Amino acid sequence: MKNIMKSQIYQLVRNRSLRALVLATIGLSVFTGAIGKIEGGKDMNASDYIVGTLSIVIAMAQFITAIITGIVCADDFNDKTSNYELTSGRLRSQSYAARAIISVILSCIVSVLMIVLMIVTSLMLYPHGSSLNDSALVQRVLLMIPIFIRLSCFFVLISYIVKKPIAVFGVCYAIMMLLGVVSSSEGSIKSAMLTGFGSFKNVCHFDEWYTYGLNTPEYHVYEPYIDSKTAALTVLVSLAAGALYLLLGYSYFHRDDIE
Amino acid sequence: MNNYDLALMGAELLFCLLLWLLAGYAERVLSTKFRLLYLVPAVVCLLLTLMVGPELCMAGAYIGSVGLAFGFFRDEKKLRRISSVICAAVIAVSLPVCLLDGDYRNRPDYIGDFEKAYASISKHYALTKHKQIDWIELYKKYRPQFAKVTKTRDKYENQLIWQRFCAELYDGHVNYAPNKGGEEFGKEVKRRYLGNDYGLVIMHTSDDGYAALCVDDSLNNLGIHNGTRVISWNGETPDEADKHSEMYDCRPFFDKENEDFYKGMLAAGTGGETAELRYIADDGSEQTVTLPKLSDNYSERYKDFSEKIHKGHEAAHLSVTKVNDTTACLRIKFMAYDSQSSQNDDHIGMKSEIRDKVTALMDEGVKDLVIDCRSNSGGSGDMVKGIASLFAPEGEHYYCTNPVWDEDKACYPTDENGDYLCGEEITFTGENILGSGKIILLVNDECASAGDHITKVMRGMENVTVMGFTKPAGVGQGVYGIELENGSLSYSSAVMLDRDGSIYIDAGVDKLSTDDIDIKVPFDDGAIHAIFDEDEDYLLDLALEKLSQ
Repeated sequence: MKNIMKSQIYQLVRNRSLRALVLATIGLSVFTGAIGKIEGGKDMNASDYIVGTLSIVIAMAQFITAIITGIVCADDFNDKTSNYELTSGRLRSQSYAARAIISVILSCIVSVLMIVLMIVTSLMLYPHGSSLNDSALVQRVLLMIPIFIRLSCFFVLISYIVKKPIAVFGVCYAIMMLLGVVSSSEGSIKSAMLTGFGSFKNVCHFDEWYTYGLNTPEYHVYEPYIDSKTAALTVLVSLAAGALYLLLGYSYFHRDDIE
Repeated sequence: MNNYDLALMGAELLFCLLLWLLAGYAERVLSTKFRLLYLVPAVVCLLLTLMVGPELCMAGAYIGSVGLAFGFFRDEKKLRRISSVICAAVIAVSLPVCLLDGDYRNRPDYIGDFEKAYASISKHYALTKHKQIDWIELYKKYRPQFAKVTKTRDKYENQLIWQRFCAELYDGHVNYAPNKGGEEFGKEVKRRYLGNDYGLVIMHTSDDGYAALCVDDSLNNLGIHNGTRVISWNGETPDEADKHSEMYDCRPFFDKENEDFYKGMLAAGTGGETAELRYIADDGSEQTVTLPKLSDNYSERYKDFSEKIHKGHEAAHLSVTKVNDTTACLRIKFMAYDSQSSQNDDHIGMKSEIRDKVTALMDEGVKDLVIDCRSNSGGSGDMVKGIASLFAPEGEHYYCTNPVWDEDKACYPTDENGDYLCGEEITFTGENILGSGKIILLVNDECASAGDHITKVMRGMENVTVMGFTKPAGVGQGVYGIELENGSLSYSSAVMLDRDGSIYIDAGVDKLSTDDIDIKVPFDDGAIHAIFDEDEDYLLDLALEKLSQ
């Protein structure tokens, strides 16, 4: 399994298109962090800006998770690398686990890096503001890790079913569009944790209070922390769901006719 | 039953049948792709649940849908068919459970709403110190009530408890509105809790007595009519009888003087199958009668009374109509003009429109103006400035003071006494378009928020006299609203101060707002006859009479 993992890493490092895509996405997240300044936004502070743009960067991170997982898990079916691997004596479990581990770790690293870079860019360019403190930001970013793990595990399952990286991306896009429609419904708030995408909404949501005066702007104050119950549930549900997706994926791959 | 739940059950049962058939086909036509079809029911269940939210009674359907995934793990035809049958049975059980369970899709989390609202209001309410609110005592008092109503799931009782909670703060900006409310819901709440109808409303009069109003025709033969003096109701004075009403603690008053004006108004809804009324007949003798309950709905008669006493000049919002040769009436029903004004806060268009209308009437001989702000529900402070500036004498006039806001700490800083610090003063410049003309501003207890502001601002002007039966409502702070699962709660959170740093308008512990009127019109027999018998605009007529003097 270690050798498979090493070979996957070798492939990924030398995959120019993936490298370009990751760099472009990271650049896009930095750009997102800076765009307010570029557009000449005045009276802006980093806290309010992060609250407003976090969901945008997370959406980009969700796409990159799908792409990385698709490339790692599904691409080798196109050129029969997986077939040769299995016929050369590797176990399916080794092949599956190696790819799943690499894709989950790599997609988490890239996704979290995107979010952190956006936050750091905003903090460097704007005054800090009072809405969010650093520990609240750290809490929220850390909470995103199990959700990204869950999401990546889901895309591992999809990858082993569709066996085409572009199809994995297509599934991601279709799900996000569908959930976008569903999100306006009454039930979506109550059932947010049923999907990883819904869990992201919880983590990006900031309870807000605002006040104002005559001839003054509105002063927005955000609740910086997520309550402990929601945080604990998010971690538990995400890890459980991730494990389930991996189990389903392996169960399918174990008896799949990959010819 | 909810359509999504029915669709889910139907679809899953259909899947059970199809997968039962597929089990045989999959055995003959070997392909791993068929295994994926056993995951489809779970995916469909997830999608439909996302639309409408989970429900405990549907547990069988959820378990059955997920249980069909057994066929994904095991390929044997017999096992797949058995699992399809078992899952179909488990799914089918959900239907009678949903139909028979009274709590199906009826588990409102009233106590969750209270906890969320309490966390917000106790932290951000602007007048905690001013009104000396003891949040912990309020929490201890109301949490058990919300816990009880969460179990009973009585939405009307929930509404009543919220109204009582809001009334504790003595602030017209603290209000709870249910999500699925509407006019019918409000009517039903009033019907349930305002009491029975015995054919009259009792109202406090300016000579400290009580009079019958909105009297039903069936009582005329007893010598009871509009204005008949009432001595007691069920053996008690009407203000004492008031307290037996379930809505006594929800009365919408935020100033003690306004509260006193409406003493007795709930009394005539209290009682059982009959109620005893002691009154003074037309011949001066004291009479006692037992009145039968006409219906269980005092709210309709009370609504009739409220509409008559709060009625303003019947004209369109911001219309300026000539009411006699020398006087026009500007009717302002609320402080809003159009979306552009609300975005830009300049109200230039509104000022121009009013200016044109008034000057056109001045060309026809009008010199005085009645500004009718009765039952003005409030709105934009900038519109208050706009209107006041049109009629104010030339020069600069004071409006209010913004408190200091600490950007770093995201709070209103206070001094060592806990009082807010004065920031920028808001002023405006008068145009005096009316010249030497006089203005009477008509208000009532439903003139609130920005309606309160305009009263306070214009009362200070030498050419304005404020008149009404009561002071305006007495609410002046800015409002914030929090969304809850079953409703929304609004409360005062944007502070406004007076020039000396005191709270602008809102009553404190003394229950007296700093908004006042110049002429308090007596609510006497003349007023009663004009309003309730002749359906006249008594206050407007008085205003015209005063202007002509």
